[in-house]
Amino acid sequence: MVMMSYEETPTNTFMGVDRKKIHWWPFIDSDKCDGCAGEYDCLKFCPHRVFRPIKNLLVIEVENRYNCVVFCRACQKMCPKDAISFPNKSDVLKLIKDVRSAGGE
Amino acid sequence: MGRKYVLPCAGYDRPGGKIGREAAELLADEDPEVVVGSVAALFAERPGEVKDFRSSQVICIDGCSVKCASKLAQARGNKDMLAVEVTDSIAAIEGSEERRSAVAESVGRLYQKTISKATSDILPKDFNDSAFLIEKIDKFILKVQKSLYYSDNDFWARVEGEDVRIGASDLLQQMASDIFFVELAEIGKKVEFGDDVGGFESTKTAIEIITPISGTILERNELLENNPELVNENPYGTGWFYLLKPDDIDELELLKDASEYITYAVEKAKHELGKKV
Repeated sequence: MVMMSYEETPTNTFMGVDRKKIHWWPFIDSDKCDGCAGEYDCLKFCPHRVFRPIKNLLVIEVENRYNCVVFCRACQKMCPKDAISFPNKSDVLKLIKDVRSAGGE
Repeated sequence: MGRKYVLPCAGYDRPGGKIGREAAELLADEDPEVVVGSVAALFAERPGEVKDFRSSQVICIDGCSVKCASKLAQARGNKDMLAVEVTDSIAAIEGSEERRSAVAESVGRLYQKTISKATSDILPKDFNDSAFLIEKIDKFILKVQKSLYYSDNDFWARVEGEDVRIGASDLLQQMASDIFFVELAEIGKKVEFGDDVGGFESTKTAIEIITPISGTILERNELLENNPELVNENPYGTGWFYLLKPDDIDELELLKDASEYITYAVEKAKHELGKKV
């Protein structure tokens, strides 16, 4: 498997915090994901190139995790198999505020 | 903005009418332009009363769903009046002072809304250019309204008195392209910074509305239900999403100001354009 590439990252910080310090991207439950029978709804839906299909297994995986828009959970809501989850928002927000109050990046 | 003729209904002996009457007096205390109208004098067409009625913005406060005040104002020929009803939810508020203030506040909000609507009707769609920072990226023109706060998720926040209005930035609406559906959350909902509060769909994508401030939803833009394209046409004006009562106004410090945001937005726009090449 090819290593993940983060070259697509649109901006390097979110709210002044290094994006790579912010753990916000979809988690895929590969037991639930069936690749929408080859349709990969999330892949078609997300404009930020977060996902990559693994075609021989009919599942999706996260390719560009830092492309994921912090606090966006749209793919979770549209997933027909409920196979996508996200971290707790308040925890992530707390981390962002903590890093900011500690003087930024 | 001219005189206001506030007409509470005459049901002083009933709970709703009593609150309405008290709210009208409260408004008159706070604003010298407010005249408290009398249903009886208007009914009898007392000359002084009719003069006030005809020369002011009429605001009726009805104590119950019979709407005596609104009906009388209509019968006396006013078609542009505003009307507030003392609803069950207001009547359930404990403490007469709190109830009175709640009614007075909803009158104030309704009035403000009318003014802002009237203003946006008069002004050209995008206000005027001096209110914006403008950047050209290839053939795209990106507008960032000055004096607003912006989130990294491309939503704006505008301080309006003690409340905060939120909407989508010009960049966001341009990236989304033609918006054909907007779904908004209920009034009264409590939201936290970064929560998704409804969303919208365009020909290109579906986007969640991610609130740039924590608080309670006071108003939502009902116009968007039938006119979702307003978000594209006038993102900083008639295309707004919510008016919120913020939990902590200092939260706005987490956001970018217009000059910080335009730098960020230009970079983001270039990236978006780059993807297509």
